Amino acid sequence: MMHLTLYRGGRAPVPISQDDFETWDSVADSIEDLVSREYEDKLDMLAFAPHRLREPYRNLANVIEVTMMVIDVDVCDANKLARYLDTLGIDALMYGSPSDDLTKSNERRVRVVAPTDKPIDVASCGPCRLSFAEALGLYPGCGVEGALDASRLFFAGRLKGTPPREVWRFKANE
Amino acid sequence: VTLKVDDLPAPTLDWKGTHAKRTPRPGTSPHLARAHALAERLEPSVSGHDGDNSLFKAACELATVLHEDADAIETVLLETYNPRCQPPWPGVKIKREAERAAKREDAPEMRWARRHASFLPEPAPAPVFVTSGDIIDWNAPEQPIDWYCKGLSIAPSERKITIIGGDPGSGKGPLADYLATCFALGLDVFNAFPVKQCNVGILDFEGARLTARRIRSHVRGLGHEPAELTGRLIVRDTEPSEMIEIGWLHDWIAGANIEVLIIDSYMSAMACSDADPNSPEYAALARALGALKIVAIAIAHARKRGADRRGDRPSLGDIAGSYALGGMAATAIAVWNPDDEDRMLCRIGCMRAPDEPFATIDVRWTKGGAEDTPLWIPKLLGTSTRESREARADADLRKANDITLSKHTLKIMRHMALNPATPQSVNAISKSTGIHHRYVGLVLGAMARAGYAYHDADGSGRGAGYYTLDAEHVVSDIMIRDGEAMIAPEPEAGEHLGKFRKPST
Repeated sequence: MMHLTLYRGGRAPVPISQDDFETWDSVADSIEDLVSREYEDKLDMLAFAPHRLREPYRNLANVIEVTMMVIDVDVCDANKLARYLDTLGIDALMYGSPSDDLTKSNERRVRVVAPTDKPIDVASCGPCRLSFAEALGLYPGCGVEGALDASRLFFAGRLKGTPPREVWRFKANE
Repeated sequence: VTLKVDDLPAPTLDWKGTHAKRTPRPGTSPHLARAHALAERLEPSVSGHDGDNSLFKAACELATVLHEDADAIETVLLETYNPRCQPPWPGVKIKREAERAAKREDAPEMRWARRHASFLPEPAPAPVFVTSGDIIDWNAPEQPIDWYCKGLSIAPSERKITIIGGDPGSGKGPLADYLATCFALGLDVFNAFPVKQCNVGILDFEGARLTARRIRSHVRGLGHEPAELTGRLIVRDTEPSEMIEIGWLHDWIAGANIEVLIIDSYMSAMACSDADPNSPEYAALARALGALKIVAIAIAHARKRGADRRGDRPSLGDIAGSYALGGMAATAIAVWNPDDEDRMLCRIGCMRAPDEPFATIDVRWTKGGAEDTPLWIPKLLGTSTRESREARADADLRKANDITLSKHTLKIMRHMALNPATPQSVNAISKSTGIHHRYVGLVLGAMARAGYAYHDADGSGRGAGYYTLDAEHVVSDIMIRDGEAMIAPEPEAGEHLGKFRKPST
């Protein structure tokens, strides 16, 4: 069962919603919806985390498990990353982060979200993310190592006046 | 299909402390140091010793560390690798090889091939289709094979096709066109094998003009007029860029009452698809043709074979796409030229048949008619079995007169001298030396008659045909004179014959 915990702004540790999802498509639709939203201030921006909390308060000690694979990439060639994801042949979604700059094709900031066959335990979250990043042809310095712990949240959306964020969806090989 | 968490391998790269630098990888960092260390260990490229290849290999090795960063690969090659090369490469060459290696590395498949992608989700299991199928009634009368040309084992097949395969230029196309003519006019193939007269269709993907010219030539050569083919033999000049539309094919075959369909060639027909010749998709057209339940003949190319196998009979495994296409053959006919010097001599063999395979047939494409319009027809030279071929080879050998086999003798002697006391069979020596067993037999026979070797027919208990070298004697030459092998006379003083010397022990 996939789980999305939603926060408003990076400084609010109390989630505004915690939802279970039966299917990957419904998760992807929700994230895509979050990405399409526009905000006046980053403090209002919604962020999600794939973790399930013991108590409704965001800190590492409260995280029971991480229900999906999410990596935060600060520097990458989005097209190349998309090619790797395509090669993997798994369900996945990639979206431009709020600070993504479309004009710098080799320095795109994106997030990759992918369902996993079972929840990731808190201790393995970091290594799993790094391993997934390596599988996608990413290297140290790309920013993945900056968001390894299980309590991390990921912003989705854009600030007013910036262009819409790009979203790539990858279908698993049948 | 999801990522398998348990199967994700531990990260292999050094991720510690790199985040703060926000370096967009390779360039600096541990990678470059690793690459330099690697470059110091790599085998330097030396002129005259496949230096180009060594350089590219080195660049590829570096790319495993620096990935698709061509600039970094170039830097490492220039700074660390190139000074060790003899002579050092110019910068332009280094740059080009670095770019090549980076480009190669850039392909995701390369990374996937190298890495153990154990965490990749297993592909979804292929759906299992279970069809009821018709049950064979053992009480029903047996259905005989509906031969269209029994001499060449051609018959319509349920779900399979007939393949004519062979080397380029071996005469597959002319043979198929000739067969089409025979089917259309009801003439015996090679004047020897009766056919069932029927309408024939040819889908020519390789240019129908030549096909039409050939067929006209065959028809006239057989004493008929091309006009007689009207409505009986339909040749379509088909674009190789178009896939055959099976629905259209069904309609065409039914409308024209075609019973024999020739595809020239299968490879050209499949050229517009991306199917790999060894993938099951490659056989899709064959499956569709097989479902027509007519005689579908596909011309297939054989793979290039080594010089040592040229002139040999191609096997079904030599036919391009054999893994996919070969499996679809009910009848497979091999066409090859046994003699490279004589391209008009054509040998036709059976690689697969629904019943007993037909004996190998030798035909010669013979020119007839006026010089300006040569009419080529195949003339049957005879069928050959293994025994008859060997008898012919024997006869050829016996015809030879005064042939000196010194080279073979030396080779055989050298081989036998390695184990002088061990009885060795003709076949074993033939295999080890690469000399035809008949020559080995001749040489050893002559040596045994002259007392230079012992022929152990059955005394050793190892069976007939074993020879032991007499260590006391050395033979320099065997001659064949009047069909008999004998020891050549000793050379005159000063005459150099490359005499074999027994190695000192």
